[in-house]
Amino acid sequence: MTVPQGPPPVTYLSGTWIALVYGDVVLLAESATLAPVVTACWTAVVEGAGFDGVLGAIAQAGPDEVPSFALVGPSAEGGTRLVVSGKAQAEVAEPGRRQPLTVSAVEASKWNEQRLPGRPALHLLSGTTEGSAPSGAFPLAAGVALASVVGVGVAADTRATPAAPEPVAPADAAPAPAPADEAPVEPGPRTVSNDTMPPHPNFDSRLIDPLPWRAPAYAQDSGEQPVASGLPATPEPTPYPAWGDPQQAQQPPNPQNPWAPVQQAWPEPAAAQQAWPPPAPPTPAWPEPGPVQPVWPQPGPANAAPAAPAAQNPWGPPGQGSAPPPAQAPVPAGPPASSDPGSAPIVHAFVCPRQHLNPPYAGTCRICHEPIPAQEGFAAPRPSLGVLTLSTGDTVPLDRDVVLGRAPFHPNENEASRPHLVQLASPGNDISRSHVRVNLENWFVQVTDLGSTNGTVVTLPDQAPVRLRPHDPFTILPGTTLNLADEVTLRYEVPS
Amino acid sequence: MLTMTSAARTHVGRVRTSNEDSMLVSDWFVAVADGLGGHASGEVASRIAVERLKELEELDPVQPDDVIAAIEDANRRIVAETHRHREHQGMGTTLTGLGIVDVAGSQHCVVFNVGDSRVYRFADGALGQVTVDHSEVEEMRAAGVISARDAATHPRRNVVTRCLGSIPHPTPDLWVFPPSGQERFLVCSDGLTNEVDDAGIAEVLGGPGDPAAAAEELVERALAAGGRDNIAVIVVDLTSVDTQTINVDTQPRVRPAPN
Repeated sequence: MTVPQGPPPVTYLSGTWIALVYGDVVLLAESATLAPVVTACWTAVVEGAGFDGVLGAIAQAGPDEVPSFALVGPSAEGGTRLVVSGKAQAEVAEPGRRQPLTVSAVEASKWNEQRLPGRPALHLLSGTTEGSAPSGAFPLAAGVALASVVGVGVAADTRATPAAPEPVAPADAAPAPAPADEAPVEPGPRTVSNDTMPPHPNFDSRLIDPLPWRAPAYAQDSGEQPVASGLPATPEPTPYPAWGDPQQAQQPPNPQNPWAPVQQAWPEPAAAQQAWPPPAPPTPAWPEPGPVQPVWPQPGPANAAPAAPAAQNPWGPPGQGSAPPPAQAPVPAGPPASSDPGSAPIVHAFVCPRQHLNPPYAGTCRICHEPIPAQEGFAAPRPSLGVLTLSTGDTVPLDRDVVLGRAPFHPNENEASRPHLVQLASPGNDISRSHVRVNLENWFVQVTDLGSTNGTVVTLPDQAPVRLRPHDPFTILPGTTLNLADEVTLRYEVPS
Repeated sequence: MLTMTSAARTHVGRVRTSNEDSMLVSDWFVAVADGLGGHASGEVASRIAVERLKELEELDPVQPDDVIAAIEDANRRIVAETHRHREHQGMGTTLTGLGIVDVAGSQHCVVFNVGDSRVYRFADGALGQVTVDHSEVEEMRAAGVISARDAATHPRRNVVTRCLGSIPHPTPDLWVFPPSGQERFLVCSDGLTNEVDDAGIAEVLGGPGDPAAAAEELVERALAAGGRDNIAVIVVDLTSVDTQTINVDTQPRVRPAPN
């Protein structure tokens, strides 16, 4: 089998979701407010953060912003990573199968992450035809568009319409030649749900093949037709579209059935010719790319931005194209830098289905308590680990260390990592000046009695109280209470 | 018992034609926002930021979390404004300031920062920079790539790594600490700190003048040094007179019985 070199060709059918394409990474997302998260995703891919960068941007935006999405990109092992959430679905073509494999998130609140061998052709589906124009598939080399279906390595309009399980095939189309070793035809699309995912959060999907349906022959170099031949509605291997010659583009789309496959001929890009199925004999040409609805940011290569920095950073200052910026104008340097001084240290983070950041070892989310699916994780500035709630009801954020006492003191006031200093009223002077320090170590919260006169008692959840030894850090869990000199009680909490 | 006396001065500078710095001076909160983005966008962004922060006045008491929420909300508003008006694409702002919040039943200072505007603290004759710039040059300085002296004149010293108006939400830096005796704070945009060095700032803050005189003097010095950017300066005198118990030694709650 020929492994495609370079990014697979991508096409889309117009719709109301956001399709974002850059290099190997393809996203189809339902977005409540469109531009902010799209911009973050775009910035991530343009700056080379790739699949993980987009996933991180979506995680940061949260499920309210991006309730559903399908994201596909290359994995480090040369295969394909696919994450599907909410209403989004993906259909993966399998060689030797008439029906594609459908990947969906069965529970709306969960991500379904799959690793696929090689670079299969697949469709990303929004599950809605709302806003779709009666037209064929448009190519998208890089950029953002409003879409309902995205085809990766295969034309977007070569799948069955969601409303009609029996695809309408062109009258003159010949049935697909069955591979010699064809397996029994599946009765219908199968679904890989989260239930097939390994239960343990530390499961490393690189060690065990998580795809029970994976055919061993798949990985072999059989020299057969690549993956697109297995699609149900594609009797002939369908070429992917490229920007057509406008002179040829006269064929109107089929107004009766906008979902009906339209046979199209496109110029053959020489580089992709090897990797992808050759085009069918020339028939009706590529339709006019009229209804393309590019959403800001503009597709870069197809629509070169006047100022390169603006294309690199959608949030960069405007005006660079016309007048030079004032010499002293602050210029945002893209997204928050991970090496920001004075900010939280970088930690390795997993995301829960609700896209909260979590430690890699957590089985359930520290905030929403949802199980955390298997994933590789990514580096992120450490989020706030919760709050200290005082007996007065006041809270202190655990975004940095905290020193509490009657007159708390930190020797170096100008140090970027200096702690919060919280002064506790102590009419009888029972609390020491600097009584206790709560410090953050990676994802852990520790408490250290600073040699206080009247001591600190720690009560872990469902445990007996323990008196701290001075200057000896003690790791605490959410729900732990701290009692300072029998006078002030604090509780470490992670608010939902 | 805490008293807070503030004075704010701003100047467009000698080079630029519009002032994109916005300032907030309310009873218990002061802030400087240095807008970025052309076509008056910076002005819009910085004004949105300080207006959102001003709403903290309606809360009583204000807690540290309220400040974080206000900053995040200001970011949301700026981003939303960007999408309503295409001409404001790319606008952003720094937001840096000082406020008084309630923690554990007593008043605490909170210093907050997103971007490269600064808060300085002057007490007992010594000047310290409370905030850490979110800038490329500060990262290079912190990493030891360049010296503090080089940082002051580095050509990329105007490049910020965090600002409001960005997605994902920038995380604000926050410090909570109790007021102590007589302190003077300076909140300012880089239009001041790019023109006047720390020694010059310390000289003015340590001078005999009240906050208004000090703020005026700082703006004048920045203009005299070139005034290449908008200048925003807020000088705050914070006096805390309830420190009599702090230096009392802690007594053991239960004295060990003599052997």
